[in-house]
Amino acid sequence: MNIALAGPIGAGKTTYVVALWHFLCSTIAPSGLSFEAHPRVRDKLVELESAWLSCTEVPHTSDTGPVDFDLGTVALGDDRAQLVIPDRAGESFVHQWADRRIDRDYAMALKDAAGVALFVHPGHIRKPHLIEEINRDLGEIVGEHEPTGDGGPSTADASAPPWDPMKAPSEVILVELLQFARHLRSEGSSRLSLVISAWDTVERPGLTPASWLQTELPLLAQYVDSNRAYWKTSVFGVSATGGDLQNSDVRKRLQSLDDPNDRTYVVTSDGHRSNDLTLPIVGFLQTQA
Amino acid sequence: MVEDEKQELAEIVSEAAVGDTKPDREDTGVPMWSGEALVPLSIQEITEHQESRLVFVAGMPGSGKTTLLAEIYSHFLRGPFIGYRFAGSRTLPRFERICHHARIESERGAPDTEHTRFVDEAEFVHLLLADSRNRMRAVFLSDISGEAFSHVRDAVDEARRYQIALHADVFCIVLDGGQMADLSKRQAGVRDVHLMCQSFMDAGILCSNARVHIILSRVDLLPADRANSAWAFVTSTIRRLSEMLASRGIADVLHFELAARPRTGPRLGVEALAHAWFDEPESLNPHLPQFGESDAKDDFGRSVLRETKGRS
Repeated sequence: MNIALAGPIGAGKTTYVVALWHFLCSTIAPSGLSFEAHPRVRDKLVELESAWLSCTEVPHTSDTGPVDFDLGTVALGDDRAQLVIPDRAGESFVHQWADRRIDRDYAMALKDAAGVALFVHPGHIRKPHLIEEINRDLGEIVGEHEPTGDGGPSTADASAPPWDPMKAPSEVILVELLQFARHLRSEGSSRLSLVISAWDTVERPGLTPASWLQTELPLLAQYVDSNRAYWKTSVFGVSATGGDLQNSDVRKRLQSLDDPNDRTYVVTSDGHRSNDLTLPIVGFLQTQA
Repeated sequence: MVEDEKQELAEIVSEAAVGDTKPDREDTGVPMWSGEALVPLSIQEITEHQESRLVFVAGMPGSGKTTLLAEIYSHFLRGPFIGYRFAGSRTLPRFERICHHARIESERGAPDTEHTRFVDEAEFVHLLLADSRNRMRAVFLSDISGEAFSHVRDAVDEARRYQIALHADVFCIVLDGGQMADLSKRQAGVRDVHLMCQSFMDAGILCSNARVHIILSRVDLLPADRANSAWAFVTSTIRRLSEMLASRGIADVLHFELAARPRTGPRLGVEALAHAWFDEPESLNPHLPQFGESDAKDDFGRSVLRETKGRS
């Protein structure tokens, strides 16, 4: 069974996969998903897991190259499946938007995947900041030249940087990736997990992943809501690292934990907190079953 | 209903990938749709399969046509807009491009809109919208260079390029309020719009069954005092334009005031136009204030000068 991961650079995809593998290998998930057999080849996973266990940053896929993670055989009830998660560099997803094409291997994996997990890191979001907002914030008077307010004679500065698709707002790119995914996948409906990684960096009382999405990525929130007949969407906040590893005190605290699984947790759409890292993907297996 | 919606959206995307892809390059990736503006051939099949609105916007260069599109799109980047949620678009890169000069990435000191490049046929941007009951509606908004309408002004045959306007739910005529405020430009500006309309009527593109919106754009550049003579000129201009349309049997005419991206003060009229474009035609308010009423607004905050429906 394939699960398609998608998300821009630094979205936390690889870290989640590594933390998930460790979780599956070391405990029985409350969701009922259990680990049956190790993958026959696991050197890459072991290498990345070593970084995760030592509380150092898990290398980005852009540094290690694309990989199809084989996480071994998992069971859910009477069903068995080999869990394969193709991982691609975050850059490749932004290039999908900019170049308007998807590499064939990933397209095939996306087409056949049991579900799509779309990752976004709260600290790596590019928002559509308007000049007038900045000017207003600065208390400046907008425009001293010929009025441009309602599309008047263009005063576009020839030296101004041209439009660069790589600098488009994150949520516009994410919506397009989902539109591409929908185009490639079969008719009917698809499971979608929207994973907000590094949830520990934004978590506060009363904030749920769903409400965060509505506030921070409103276009994406509208898209998945209005397309709920196709995208069966769940939103999760995931902390797959446990804290800011650049902070030495945090790192020492995390390293001192007896069980590395205590570092991680998942918050569901409605704010329920769990240590079960399988929650974002277990629904995909239920679909298969 | 839900299945129908899914099928419809799938058809949109499917059609896009077949007929609107970026040209092949050396790499072997699977091509997606280009994301640039749609031409009439690409949208005709879509409108056959899906509830849709086609809005044709005509106006001289710099009158604010593209800025209006940018502002409508930008509303959805902030959240649901006038009761509609964003449900998709085949032209996201195009929208992003037309918003560029209003964003900080352009490194400009003041927001602007890049002029739409001239091409031989009409181009449209696309929005798929979901209403409060999650009913889907495709909206196609023309994004045509003002230069193209200068050509229409000059020659009737140029108007014949835009046969797609015959299928438009709304034919919009943009009057540039900035020009109306400028004594040196306003007479030529009025002439341009009259001749443009004349060409469209003579070419049979703008005919008696048309639903017309006359949009007075950039009203923030007109004097705040409605008693100013500039407003009298505007009033007279719109009246004469309406009468010209009525003389050809075009009686379904609404007037709007617009300040889509004012230099100072609040935006005006974008919501009203969006309602008029996106909503069911029957839901439009038939009891609108009379022309010349200052700051006249309906329940939607729509600033409307006058409805001439029934006049002929």
